[in-house]
Amino acid sequence: MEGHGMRIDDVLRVVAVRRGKPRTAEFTLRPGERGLSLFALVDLPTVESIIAAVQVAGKRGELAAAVFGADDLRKLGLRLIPTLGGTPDETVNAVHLEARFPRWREWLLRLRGRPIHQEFNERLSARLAEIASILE
Amino acid sequence: MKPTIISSDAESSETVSALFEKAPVLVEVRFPGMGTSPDWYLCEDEREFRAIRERLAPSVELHLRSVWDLKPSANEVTIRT
Repeated sequence: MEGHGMRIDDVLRVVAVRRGKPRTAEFTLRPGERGLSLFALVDLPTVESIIAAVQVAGKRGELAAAVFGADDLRKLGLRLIPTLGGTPDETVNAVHLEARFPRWREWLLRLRGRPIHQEFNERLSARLAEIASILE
Repeated sequence: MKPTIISSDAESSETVSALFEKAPVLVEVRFPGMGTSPDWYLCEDEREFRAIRERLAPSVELHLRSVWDLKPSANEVTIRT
């Protein structure tokens, strides 16, 4: 998977973990969102600095990184699209991505009047919680 | 009823105060582009809400609804800073 001018093998999402597993709710889209917000797993910025940036923004709880292989997301029918992140740390924002449905599928959903977040949450969220590897 | 979207502190103060007349208020804190899920709070009064807001970065998005009216988008106040 290409993005940010480099090959991306793995991506991560910052999650609260209870009993070693993240909840399905950690991988859901809210109404109006188009893709699941993620970061590329790279040497710099480190995982620790990504988690710290999210904490500085005000996210509460004990946080960990849920890691996915980029290929695993592609097998679920998702595309990784580089987009600008929203944390207070610019270096972290530079490795932000969204896992989205392909455009043709978004159009089909619109034609059917089915919101993207609903399709994503019903079809993918539980599966994402299952396949996530937790880095603590 | 359409949701109210506000962005400045001056506007939000009045709108939020009106919402807390129907407390408790469910507050969803979204972190757009931050690779994480929202946090949720149940605020009994406006002071509690202000304390939460003070420790949040400017780029977060807040969605407030009275628990007496939780229908999607109904009477929801969205604060984007």
